[in-house]
Amino acid sequence: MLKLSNLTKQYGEKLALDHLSIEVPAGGIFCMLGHNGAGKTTTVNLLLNFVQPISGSVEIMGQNLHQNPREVLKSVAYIPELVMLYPELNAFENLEYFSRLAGKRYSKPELESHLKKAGLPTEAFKRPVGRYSKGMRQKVGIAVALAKQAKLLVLDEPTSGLDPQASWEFSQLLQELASQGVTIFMVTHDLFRVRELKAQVGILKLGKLQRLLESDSLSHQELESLYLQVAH
Amino acid sequence: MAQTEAIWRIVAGQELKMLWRSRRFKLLMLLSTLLFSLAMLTGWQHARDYREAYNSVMGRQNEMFERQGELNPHSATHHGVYAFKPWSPLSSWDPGLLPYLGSAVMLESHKQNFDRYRAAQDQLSLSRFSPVTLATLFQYLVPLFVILLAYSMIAEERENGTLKLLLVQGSSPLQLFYGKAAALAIALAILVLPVLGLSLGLMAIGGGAIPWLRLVPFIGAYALYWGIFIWLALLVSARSGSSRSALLILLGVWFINALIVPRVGLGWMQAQHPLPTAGEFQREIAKEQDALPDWDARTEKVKAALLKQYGVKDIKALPVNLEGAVLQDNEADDTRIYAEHFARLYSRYRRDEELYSQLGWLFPTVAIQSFSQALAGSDYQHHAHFLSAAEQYRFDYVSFLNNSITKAQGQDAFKYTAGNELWKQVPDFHYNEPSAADVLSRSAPSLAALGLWLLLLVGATPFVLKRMQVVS
Repeated sequence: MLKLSNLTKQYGEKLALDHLSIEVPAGGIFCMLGHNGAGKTTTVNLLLNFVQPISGSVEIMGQNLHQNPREVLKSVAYIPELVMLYPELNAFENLEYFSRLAGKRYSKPELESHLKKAGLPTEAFKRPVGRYSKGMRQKVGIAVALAKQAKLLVLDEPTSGLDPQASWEFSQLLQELASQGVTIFMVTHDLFRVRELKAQVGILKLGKLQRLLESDSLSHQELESLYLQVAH
Repeated sequence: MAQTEAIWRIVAGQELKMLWRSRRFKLLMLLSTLLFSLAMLTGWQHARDYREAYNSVMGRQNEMFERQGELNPHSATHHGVYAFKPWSPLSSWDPGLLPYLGSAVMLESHKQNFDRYRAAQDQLSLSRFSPVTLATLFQYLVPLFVILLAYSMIAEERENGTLKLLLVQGSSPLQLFYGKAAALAIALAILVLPVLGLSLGLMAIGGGAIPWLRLVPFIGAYALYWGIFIWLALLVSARSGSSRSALLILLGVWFINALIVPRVGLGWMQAQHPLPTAGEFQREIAKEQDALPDWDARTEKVKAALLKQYGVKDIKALPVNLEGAVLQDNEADDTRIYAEHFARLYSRYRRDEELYSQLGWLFPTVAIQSFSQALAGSDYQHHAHFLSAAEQYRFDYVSFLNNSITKAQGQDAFKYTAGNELWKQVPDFHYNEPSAADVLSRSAPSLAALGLWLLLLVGATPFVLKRMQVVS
């Protein structure tokens, strides 16, 4: 479903990503770990066509992203670490706008259902999102991704703003989506959630993939010590 | 439920919704409403006062002229009459050079006078700086408003991180750009259309016919001009590293375009082609008039010509009054000398105006100024057209009265008098300004400059956006 082949990116003299190759099947979850500057965000930016690689390719559902980005991105949703929305609009309006851009026009009950599924409290629906906490904005971001009904979900530190309960609920949601065939690519520092997710894990260091493993093959402690050992 | 909607329309709708809620837009709406109302009322009041004064003075002058009683017709030409410039309806919107040009010219025998009664002479010294007119607001304020609304439209999306989400959700940079441009155009229409509607209403109430043939291209040119600023502001917003740098760049462009170039351009032009002072101009004319034949020599010349023309040997046998013919011959010479000097002076004014309008290829504000003044009938070319019509009338009017003496055969030309019957026969001065087609063909380069600017910006947009950074 998602295939990165020898993906390489350089910023000036600095090699940000060095021949990264990953394959994630439909319904699979891939978690990329690594310290700051390891190349995680660069990978996300390449995956979403925000920057261009100097070599290598990204294939999503068998289609080359860089050859036809707009068509390919129709099946991709994105949740950044800091979900930025239009502060003067409320959750409904933000969700409706982003959904319409994705070609989806929902009724109010449908929008409400997406927001509820993302875990946003009902009383917050009509408040301008400028007054939301980071976690609440994150939930609207999740609703935007859900409403797009994408086949691939790209997540950049998605749980960083969530409390433990919301973070757990989010993990459950991801597993539910994966069980429905949605592929998930996630960049994170949250080893606990990674372990919980039963995902493929890649550890990145200085733009190079150091290790590829299954999260459920290790205990949380083993995963943590391996991460510290490999990533440092 | 999935539907296919034009993305630029979705973006435009969203932008308008956010503009409508933003304090910045509300503030600009309030400010523009105040300024537009002020400009509109000032223009309307000035037009009304001018028209009233014109009708009243014209009526009084005609009445006095036709009832001046027994008088020598040539003496009557020395008393003179005034030709008043009628009000051009669109000049209430763009008075252009009118405050600095005379509104009347005195017509008398032997000389062509300069125009007089400049509106600027009647104003307080402070009000000579930047009078608030619809044209100055359209030329300077509206672009500034566009800049203040647009500078952050794309740069802020990048700074806030919403640009990434917009692109992933399905918008292309170009669709985003078009949507925002459409929203700005609609916002501008909300600001400006009521003003135009009200101004037209006032024009109609004032009794003046609405000059549609001038009005439509006038508004069209302003639409092009504002389109240039909308496009430019969004392109700068898309390419700038931050909304702050976009604002600085755009304010710089506005400042140079709107404030520096028009003043520096005029100053440079005046330095390149200095005009003669009034004294120098009159001295040159006087020198040529001094070289004309004196009364006796002219009488001999005219007498010889008339005797030959009528095939007689004695002036008593002439069917015309010799002195009347001499007066008219003298008038023809004076008219020729004045016409040559004024033609040279006017051609220098015209050349300066044309040279200045050439700057419009580089600076859109200069192009719109030239076009707007031309369509409003407030540029120098319109004034020169009026002066030329007035001068033609002056010659005809003086000739008419001189010829009445010429026809009084056998009488002493200087003792001959005519009464109210003759004054009533003198044709009135009726001035028709140049046709819209003439003005449009003369001003086509300014309109073409505006069109070219917009075309270049639109053409460059895909290339600029291709290089737009998504990640700040």
